[in-house]
Amino acid sequence: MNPEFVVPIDRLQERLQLKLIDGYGIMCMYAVEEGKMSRGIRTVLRRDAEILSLFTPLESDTYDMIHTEVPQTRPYEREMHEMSGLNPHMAEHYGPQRLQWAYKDAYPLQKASLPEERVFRPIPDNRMEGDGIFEIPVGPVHAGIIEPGHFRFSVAGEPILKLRTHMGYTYRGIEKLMEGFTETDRTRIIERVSGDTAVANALAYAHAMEGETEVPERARLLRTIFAELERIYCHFGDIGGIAQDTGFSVPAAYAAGIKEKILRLNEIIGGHRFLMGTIVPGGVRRDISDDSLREIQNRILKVSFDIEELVGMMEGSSFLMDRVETTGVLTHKDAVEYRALGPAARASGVKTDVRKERPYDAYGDVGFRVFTREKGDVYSRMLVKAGEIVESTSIINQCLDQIRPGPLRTEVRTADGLGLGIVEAPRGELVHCAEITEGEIWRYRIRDPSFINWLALERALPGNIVADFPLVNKSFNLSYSGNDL
Amino acid sequence: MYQKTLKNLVSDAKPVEPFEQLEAKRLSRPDPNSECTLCGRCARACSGRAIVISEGRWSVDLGRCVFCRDCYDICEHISSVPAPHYALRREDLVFLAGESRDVEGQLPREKTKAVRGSVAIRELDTGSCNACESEANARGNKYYDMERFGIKVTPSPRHADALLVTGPMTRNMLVAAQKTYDAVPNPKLVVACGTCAISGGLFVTGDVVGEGISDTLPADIFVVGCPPTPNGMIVSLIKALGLRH
Ligand code: SF4
Ligand code: SF4
Repeated sequence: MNPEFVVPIDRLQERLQLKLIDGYGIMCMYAVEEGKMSRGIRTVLRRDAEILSLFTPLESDTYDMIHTEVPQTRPYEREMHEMSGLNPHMAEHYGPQRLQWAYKDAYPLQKASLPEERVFRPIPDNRMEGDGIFEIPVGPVHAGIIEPGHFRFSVAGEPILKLRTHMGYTYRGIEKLMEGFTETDRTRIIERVSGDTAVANALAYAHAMEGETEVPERARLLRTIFAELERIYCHFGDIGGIAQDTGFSVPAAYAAGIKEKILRLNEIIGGHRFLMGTIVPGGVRRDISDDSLREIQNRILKVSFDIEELVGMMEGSSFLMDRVETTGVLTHKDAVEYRALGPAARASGVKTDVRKERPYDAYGDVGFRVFTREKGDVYSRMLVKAGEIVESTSIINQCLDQIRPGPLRTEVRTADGLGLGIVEAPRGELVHCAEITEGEIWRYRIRDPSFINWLALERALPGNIVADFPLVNKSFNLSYSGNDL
Repeated sequence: MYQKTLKNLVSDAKPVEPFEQLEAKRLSRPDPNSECTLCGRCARACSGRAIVISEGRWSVDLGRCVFCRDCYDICEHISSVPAPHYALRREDLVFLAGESRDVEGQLPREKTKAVRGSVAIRELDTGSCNACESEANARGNKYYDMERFGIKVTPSPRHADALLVTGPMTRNMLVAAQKTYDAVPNPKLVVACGTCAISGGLFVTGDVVGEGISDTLPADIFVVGCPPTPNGMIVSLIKALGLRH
């Protein structure tokens, strides 16, 4: 088990500051309800493979906020305020994060039943003011086929001075639903937190429930293959999207074609185009025939050529390079300060990858490189994703070499306490925390990488022109539904 | 390399699939054989609460099914039969044991007045998990190429003939969704796309309004699947609107 410490609330800020200096990063922070557990704040930190979990008991719902001193905690404190009712007097200060229709004197995660009555919380109008500064509101319904989110740009002429993102349009209350459901229902719903990272979410859920359970080897290898296939199609979609948003449709069509081929491969091997319903706690649900394994091998072989061709095509076009280079720079400093995650962080020179730092499933048995770039612009993010596709193909090949017939599933013994699932989703470190008491889930917290990376996007945008927003947005490719839950 | 790619994209050996092929690829739905004892194991295993056994009758509601195949795993009497791509009425999606019906009809003429050979659709996400969006985007790739059937995506609702709605209609999206609906000129069609949009799916007990979008927007076509396949979406539009193929 991971060490757990009880930290009183007046010491929390100091302790976090010390830990951050020590090289830990705050992975997740959430409030727990009174009842089978005592009311308090759980903070989970990570430094490479080391996990540290702090529990802070709370006597009252009001405490002195710590994000003023520890900026990494800001989104979490906002979330605790809105979803768990901490610091209720701060409503004016925060504005809605997910819940535009708040409950009167109640909060969504409370154990008591919720009142019918809802109050509308408008988005606060704290726009920038000054000569020639205008605000452009965009969304929630966008021009393309994408998810809903509301953006407000403050612009002076073309350049953006400030971007504020307002999410919550896809808030469905998944964390609350998780508490009531049965095991299979939870597996089904967790895959639909964010459809294109279904495998990563199912995997994180499985890890959170498994605890110390040993998963059979074949299952671990198959899980790794599924997770990497997901990464490949996601990254192809992103790179194609970058080409699309610069108006260069040949590579965009090319990338869409390859993505489709991978999705069809998924359908053959897992029975679902997004591989939903393949991973269950304790192993995998179905076996894969040797024919399908060969099919994967053939397909993967072609993918490494495809990505080379795709990137070559894009780099060969000077107008595309004009658009992507030096656009949407996320500086190394910002990436570290906000603890940006995944390809976005790696493109800014932060070498972070859960697969390497804290190997799960078969990642300890395979060799691969963590791709980083220094500049932090759209082009770097594109190259990081392209590099990761190549590494993914190599990981899959190594898994295919190691795969032997064997059992697929074991009995899961869910232990009481904190169950943690930490995986590297295509968008970055994905964390699921399950507070399990008496064999039941008391609180389930999902922290999608997008939850943090939206803030990184807000940092990367100022100075760019409005027309580049879709491009920068695409290079991050964040999930709205994973953020909103 | 350029030329090679261009050649790939425009050569005769295009991978686009003809309509018949698109129509033939279907999702599968569960159907119990005559040995089913109505024991209720499948109904208990079903996450979508799609299988209902009442008054001695077994039925599956494809508007709730998330196509997870848990029911096939749990009972050897259940086999898979091809599912319809879409239906025009919500109740048509409920199938009894052993029943097979063709529910893929065409909309009456007065509904499709705005559609002459081609249809412009506007996608509206009311809280989906983005798998539906991903599939809606895939309709444009070289395998499906929906534009050859005259199906076109427009950026503005004001240019649209039909609204393709995904997601369970979250409370936060309600106002925006209604405004988008109002912005589409009359006569307009609403396509409920995916389990979430048809019935609320797995999220029906969450922070959503009603059971699916039909409680707030008048849905005309129900496209089944979680997510619906790209070919399912294309075929539904073609057949329901009577587009040329
Ligand atoms: S496939 Fe899944 S959701 Fe559909 S009826 Fe069977 S168990 Fe229910
Ligand atoms: S219908 Fe299924 S795939 Fe589509 S949004 Fe709902 S859960 Fe996601």
